[in-house]
Amino acid sequence: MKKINRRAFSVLIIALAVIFGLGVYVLRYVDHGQDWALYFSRANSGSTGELTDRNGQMLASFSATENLFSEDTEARIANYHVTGDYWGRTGTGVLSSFWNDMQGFDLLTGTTKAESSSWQLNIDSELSKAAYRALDGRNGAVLLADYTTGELLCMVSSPLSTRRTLRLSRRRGRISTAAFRPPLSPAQSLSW
Amino acid sequence: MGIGVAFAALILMQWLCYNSMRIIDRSGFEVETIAFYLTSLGVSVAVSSTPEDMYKHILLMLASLLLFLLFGWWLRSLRRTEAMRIPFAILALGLLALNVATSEAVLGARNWLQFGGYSFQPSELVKVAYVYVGASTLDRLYRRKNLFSFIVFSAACVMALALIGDFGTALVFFVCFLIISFMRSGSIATVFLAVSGAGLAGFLAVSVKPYIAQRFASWGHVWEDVYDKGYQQTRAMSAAASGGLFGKGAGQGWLKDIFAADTDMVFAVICEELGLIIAICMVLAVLTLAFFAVRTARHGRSAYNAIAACASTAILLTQLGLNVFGSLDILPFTGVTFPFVSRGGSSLLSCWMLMAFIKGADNRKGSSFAVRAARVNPAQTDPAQYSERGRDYLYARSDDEEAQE
Repeated sequence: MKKINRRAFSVLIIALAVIFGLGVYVLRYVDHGQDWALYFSRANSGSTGELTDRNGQMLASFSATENLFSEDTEARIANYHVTGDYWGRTGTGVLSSFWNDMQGFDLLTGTTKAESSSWQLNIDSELSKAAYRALDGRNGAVLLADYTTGELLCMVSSPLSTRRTLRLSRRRGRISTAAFRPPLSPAQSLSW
Repeated sequence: MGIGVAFAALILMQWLCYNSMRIIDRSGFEVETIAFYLTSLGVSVAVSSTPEDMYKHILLMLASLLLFLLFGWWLRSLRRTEAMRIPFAILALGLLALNVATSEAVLGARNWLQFGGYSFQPSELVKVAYVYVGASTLDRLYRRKNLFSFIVFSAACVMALALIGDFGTALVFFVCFLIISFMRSGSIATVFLAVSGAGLAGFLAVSVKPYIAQRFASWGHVWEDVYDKGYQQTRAMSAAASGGLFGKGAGQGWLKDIFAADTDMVFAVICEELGLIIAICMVLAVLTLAFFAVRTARHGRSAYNAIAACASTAILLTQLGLNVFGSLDILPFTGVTFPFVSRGGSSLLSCWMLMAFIKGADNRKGSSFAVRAARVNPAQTDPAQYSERGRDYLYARSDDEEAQE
């Protein structure tokens, strides 16, 4: 009888397996929860998102099937540090920093919206293009703000990372963003 | 309207259960509390998916509670339990045979039996009978005839389920068989032998009939075929993730409209509507039950009750594992029910009856209605005059004696 009672522990093996499986799910949820949650809301309802400049010009747009940048090469390059990218290579870009809000998903609260989202920046992409052209590959940054409203109109860093710096930055986990580094951080620049 | 009535009925049932236990001076409510918690979640799922069936669901809950009490009372006497072992086995095999012979495929599943306008799943009730018969046999541990007939009975059940095509339930039975056979023999080698035997049989079945393997082909690749093979799992995962930790609110989800969401993907429905925290609590509730069963089985009043409690727990845990992890693509999708929470009358009835086995193993003083209050101390009893009450100890002694042989 005692032996039989001791063997009752065999049931706990199944219990441990269940706990292990639950752990696997929670980890997968943290890792892929967003992709899962948004898959059908984006695929079914055609929910998309768009990032535009102050004049409504598209800087980036994403949907279930494809993620795009502006068709204008110069605008794409000049605004690179502002828009960021879909792969999180520029931690300061809007696409990286606000990706969860734009997608409408949060690990704590789940999906927050199912309709398409549109984000308009204060940046003027034409100004950014002009600034980038004026920098002409020199080391530097241009920050332009409307002092009456505090809106940042232009934020350009130069030079744009080359393939080599991109590789290096991937290894280090960040990318050169001259406009954000002291002594040229926006707050400092604007307090002049 | 139906929603309010359902929850009122649930509260009334709990008071009924509590008061009737207090009247007979019982104060252990661990098993009932967990069962009621899970049943409440089941009501929430049923309310949001099929509000029109609410009154049927209420009746089923009542019937389940009554069966639980009745069955617990029945298990009080081991002599009575023992006497009905063979009739139960015959009934179980008869039900399965009827299922194999007559059932038509209901939306791809053949495990339903139509009966005067109602449909039920015989395999759910056979689970209870299986534990009843399996554990009963073990009071005479090493008698070959008993062992042999139990193996034949198990094989017949699993074969019948395989014929119906209900591989999930077949697996549940197999795990239950492993637990029972390990608890009776204590031999890990026997368990390995059974597992490799089953593995071999599975391999043979797959090589003879390759379509069986195709059913599990999408496992791990559900996102590659979201509109066909991975249809249910991908939707379950998507909906579950979209609920976050706190859920969208009861009845606010979209997964409930997908076919069989309220049975096979019920974990995801709970995740979506009530949140991941509640869903995890739901799993933890069953796990708590497992720890409780193991603890009570260690001090159980007899080998029969200890084995029955562990076998019941094994069934509940395996079902939970297959249901939850099947819908989340961690295991192949088999379509078994989540204990208490999945919508379905036969499943609810069988879960409450399995609870009676767990309740029956709890021999703390004044806690379980399934155990008689007055107990006989074997040291003070003449073995020649064992009363029915004392039979518990007789079994306990005979197990030990036989184990020493």
